[in-house]
Amino acid sequence: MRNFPKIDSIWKAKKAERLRLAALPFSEKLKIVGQLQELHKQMKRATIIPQGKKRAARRSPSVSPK
Amino acid sequence: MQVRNALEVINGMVADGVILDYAIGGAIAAIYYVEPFFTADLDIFVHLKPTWNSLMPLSEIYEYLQQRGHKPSHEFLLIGDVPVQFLPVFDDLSNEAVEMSQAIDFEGIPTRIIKPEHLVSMMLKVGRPKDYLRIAMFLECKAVNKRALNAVLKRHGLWEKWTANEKRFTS
Repeated sequence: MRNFPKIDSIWKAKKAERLRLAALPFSEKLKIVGQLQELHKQMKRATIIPQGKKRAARRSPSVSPK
Repeated sequence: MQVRNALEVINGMVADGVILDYAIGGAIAAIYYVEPFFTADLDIFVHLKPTWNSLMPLSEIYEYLQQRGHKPSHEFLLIGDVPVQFLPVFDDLSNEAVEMSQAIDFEGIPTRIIKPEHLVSMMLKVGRPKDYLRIAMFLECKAVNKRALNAVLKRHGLWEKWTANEKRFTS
């Protein structure tokens, strides 16, 4: 098995963060859930740009047709 | 998310005899033991009164809460800003999970929460991809007592399913 020290260190750091979060008091965890729900609500409010308009939105103003 | 207020209302339902007993289950119960993740609702597993209406098992709960100003929304009842889903125990496993749930104190409110071994067994039984992901979280956090989990799995005929899928949770 090949050794990828950089990936290993990222993986270990992420695992340590997950374990830190798991050890938080329940009420603190629920505050985080509340924040995630708020973020989810905001993302749901975002509307899908129809394909044609999306292309137009991507164009920079300098090249957009008049 | 005003969980404290919702739990006070649910404790009131027990005191008023609308439900016999309850325990927090689902994602919120999982979050008690592992890291927080997104969930939309609070799942409450309930023991209904012996006189419950088998055609409309939740009618009394809905009536009680609606009389107190809590409105239904899709499959939930909104208690304050918390969408609560009431789930009557539906098999031996969920029945035992509520019976053997542990008492906790949430910001001064006494409540009950399903034990991790029962939660993992229920997730295995349901078997959606997100359930398997959560089982992996429980194992990574060492949130389950393996011996107690094995006993629950064997008691409820889930041992073979566990051994067939165990690699998914530990890899």
